[in-house]
Amino acid sequence: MMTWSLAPLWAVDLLGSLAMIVVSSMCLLVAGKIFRRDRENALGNYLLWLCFAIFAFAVSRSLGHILKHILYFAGYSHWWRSLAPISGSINTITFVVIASSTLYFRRIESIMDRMGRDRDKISSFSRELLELNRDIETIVSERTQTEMALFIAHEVRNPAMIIGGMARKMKKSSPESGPDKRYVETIIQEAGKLEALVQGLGKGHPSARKKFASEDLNEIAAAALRTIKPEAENRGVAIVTEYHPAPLIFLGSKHLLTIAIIHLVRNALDACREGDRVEIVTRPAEKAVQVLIRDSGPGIAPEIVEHIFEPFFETSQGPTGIGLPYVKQIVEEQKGRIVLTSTPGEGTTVLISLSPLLGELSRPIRPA
Amino acid sequence: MKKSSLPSKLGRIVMLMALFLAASVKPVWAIQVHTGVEGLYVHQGAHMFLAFSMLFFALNIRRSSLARLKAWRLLFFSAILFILWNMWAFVGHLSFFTRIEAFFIMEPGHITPSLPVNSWHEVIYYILKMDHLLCLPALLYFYFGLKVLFDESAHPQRQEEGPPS
Repeated sequence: MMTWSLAPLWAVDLLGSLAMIVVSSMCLLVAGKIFRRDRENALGNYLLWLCFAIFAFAVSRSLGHILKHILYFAGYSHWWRSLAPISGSINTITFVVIASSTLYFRRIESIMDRMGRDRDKISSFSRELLELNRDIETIVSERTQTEMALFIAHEVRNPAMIIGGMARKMKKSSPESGPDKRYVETIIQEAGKLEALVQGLGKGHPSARKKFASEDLNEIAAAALRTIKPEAENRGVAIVTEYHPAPLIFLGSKHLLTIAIIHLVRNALDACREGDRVEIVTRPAEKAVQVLIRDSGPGIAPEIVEHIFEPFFETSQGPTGIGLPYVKQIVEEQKGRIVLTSTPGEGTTVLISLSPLLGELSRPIRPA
Repeated sequence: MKKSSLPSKLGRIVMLMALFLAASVKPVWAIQVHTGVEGLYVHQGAHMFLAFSMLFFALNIRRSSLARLKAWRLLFFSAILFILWNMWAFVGHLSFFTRIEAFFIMEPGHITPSLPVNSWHEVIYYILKMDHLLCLPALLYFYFGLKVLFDESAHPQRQEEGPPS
């Protein structure tokens, strides 16, 4: 009869059991490090819990196996018959805990996905806000410089003209070979320089348009909507978009126009009730690219529509504020036009038309 | 008068029922006695449950974008090895159940018992007893997965990404 010694089996069992304790402890240590890096991270918490269960499983199972061999060699093998059910029960419990934790992974994964998407959205928003802030700072700085230049021009123009005029009169009245003639001529010359300088300052600061770049109206409308969509969802207002399939390129400031569109959509949302809808359409028109914002709200009375772009226009609900005048200013700075039409009871439509870049409209339209 | 809530009403009903039962003492045989191989069945059930949960875990990784990351690929392999180990152990327990220690023999000069090999049953028993050969690699893969996950979270730019699977 052939017999196989159990020594190799026991060696594998003993060494394997020791290795299981070591490796499961290492798992627990790494999971602890992951958890400590970000204690509020769902995955870190989940892994730590799972590793605890695996550690409990490995230690209880391995200690049971090791104890069994120790008892055998010590001559107390019969003790194991009493201890085996306890060891087996603990093992069974740890299996169930590991299995239950593992089944929960799907939920953790969906939480991780959601967190990842939100993180991307926040980082995209903060990047856009940063760029917007930079542009606004530039615009404010340029406008301050322009205002200072206009102020100086206004304050210096009159004295310079008076000095120049008086000096010219003095030159006429003084004898040709008089000793003061040379001084008067110098005064006229310098006053002339001053007048020319003032005239230059009066023309304003033309650098604002230098900041304009070729932009796609579709992208701007989409970026504005990304920002405002959560507000619409909270209010229960449906957003319907219809973007032209081809890029609608114009020369302007992406960020300023984004602000303008956000403002218009927010106004539309304010006017809407739950269940209403706001449409945003981009389209080419004759010598223009257009964005249209239409809401199904209660509309605006005709007497208000006439003055809607005037700052602080008084209505029965109070002043209109500077929102829409500011939007109008942004559009007009980009050589565009803004038209608001409204029918009480049916809704309001705002149409912004911008000049396309030369040749853009002659391009063939890309299929959707 | 203050109205009592539904839980407190239920509490009173339960207490009254308990008093009624305590007052009418007689043998009720309410405790289910666990005898025989129930423990083994529960343990085997736990093995199947663990195998199923690991299969679920592996499939989740496989169908998601996580499969592109090295750490999760390692955890995927760990789950597969755990499934195999559970199946191995499940069959092993069935095999062990048919063997008793009295079956082993002590040969002169040996410090461990020996197994008389009369049929393929003993061969299978011998092989299945070495389940650490699957369990330990499963745990090692799990550890390496965690380690890479930790390193990747420390250096997100070093995340190794392959084509989506």
